[in-house]
Amino acid sequence: MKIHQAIIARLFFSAAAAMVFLMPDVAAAHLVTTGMGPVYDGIGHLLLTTEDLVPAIAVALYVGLRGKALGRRALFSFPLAWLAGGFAGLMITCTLTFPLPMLSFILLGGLIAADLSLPDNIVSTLVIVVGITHGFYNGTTMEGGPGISGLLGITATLFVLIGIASAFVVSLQAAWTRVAVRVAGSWIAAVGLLMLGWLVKGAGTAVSFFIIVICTFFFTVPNTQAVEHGRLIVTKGRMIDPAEETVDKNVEILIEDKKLSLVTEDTIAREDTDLVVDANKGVLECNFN
Amino acid sequence: MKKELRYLNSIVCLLMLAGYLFFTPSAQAHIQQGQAVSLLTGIEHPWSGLDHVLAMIAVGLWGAQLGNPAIWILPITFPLVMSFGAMMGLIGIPLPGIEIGIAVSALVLGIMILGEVRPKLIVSAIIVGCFAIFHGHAHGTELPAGQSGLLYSMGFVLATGCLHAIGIGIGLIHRWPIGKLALRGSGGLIAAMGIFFLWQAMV
Repeated sequence: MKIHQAIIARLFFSAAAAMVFLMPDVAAAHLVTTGMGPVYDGIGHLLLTTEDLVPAIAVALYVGLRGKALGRRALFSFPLAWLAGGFAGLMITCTLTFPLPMLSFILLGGLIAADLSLPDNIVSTLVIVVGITHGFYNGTTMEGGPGISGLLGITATLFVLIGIASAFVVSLQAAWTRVAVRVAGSWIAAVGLLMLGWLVKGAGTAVSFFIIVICTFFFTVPNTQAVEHGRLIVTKGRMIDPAEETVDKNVEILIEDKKLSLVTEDTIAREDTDLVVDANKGVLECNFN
Repeated sequence: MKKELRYLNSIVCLLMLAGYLFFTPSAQAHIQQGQAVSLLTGIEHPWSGLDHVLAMIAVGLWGAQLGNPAIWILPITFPLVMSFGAMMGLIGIPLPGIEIGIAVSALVLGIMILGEVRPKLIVSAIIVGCFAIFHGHAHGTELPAGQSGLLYSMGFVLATGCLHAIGIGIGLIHRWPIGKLALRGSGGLIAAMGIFFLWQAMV
């Protein structure tokens, strides 16, 4: 009887607790405000920002794989480096566009996946560099927000995070558990690679050129396969009249579902376009009439 | 008695966890919009096509059949190279015969499982890696616009990893003689499906 009463009491308690969590809160569509002050705002900022959280976890996983000594070093050096970088970021007013999270994902994820055994000093330097750079980025965004108190909240959270995660990895004994950590690293690196793809998507930047060169090194890519795309725009085409009765025209061509849809001297809207190809003044021979 | 209470504690924990997952915190506008949608879309995407699903499960099955170290090398290779393929798709590098490549991946991996083929580790990693390019490219070109790239990518990679894990989980039946046979049978089924996908891609 008593057992049943205990069961009912606990179920009621659970239901009540669940109800509390299910209560919708008022939306506050502005900066991270936990309502508990800037320190908690900083904690919330770290825990809700995947660009910072994942690299921090990755650092913990990597130093954990490298053993107790490095784990202990990182426990203090990483949060302090983050704090130092954050202070610097708070003092310098600038807008940063460098894709730091992407680099961190690829670098740290790759190191974890490969379980690469680097010299201790290099690992410590790497940990500090990651801490300073991410801290700096945080600092620049926190000037108008939680400020120094927020940074302290982040630092404390990092200390706990590194402590728990790296200690957990250090404690892993079975071979498959270390492999699981390495698999997690490979996933982080894979996400980083995808972020790189998103970064250079459709951009004719030096970075994408560099990637294309690397890809071309591994794969020969025939251009004719571009017709597989649903909506294809060919830019900078030159349309000439074989009869030479009219002057050449620079045109853009729209191909939809493998059919020629539009040839125009105007710019075709790029929305919902799968591929834009630069014809580089390639010639389209046709009758203007 | 104690056992019942232990079960009860588990139920309480699960209910608390469920409650926590339903917790709705304040909206924070400085974080990109549509993050949850992006994550869910990313998780959903690898499951959206049976050809993808079968090929990724086949990677796990083959890894389990080959045993250590292939059991973890192959699932590490696949997401990494797949991301590289997705990156190619994102930056607009065309790849010939994507659908055919995906169908052939199911066919070849199915045959490998069916015949319990045991090539050198590097060869099996290259086979898996080559097919991962096709799968990644297909996903990369289909990534929806206007969503958080990071969250989408995370969901996408996590879902792919889960598919491999399912394959590995099923593949663990390999330790029993009847399981070996069943595993080879599933390989035959995957290969047959691969032929069907190939036929679909060709016509």
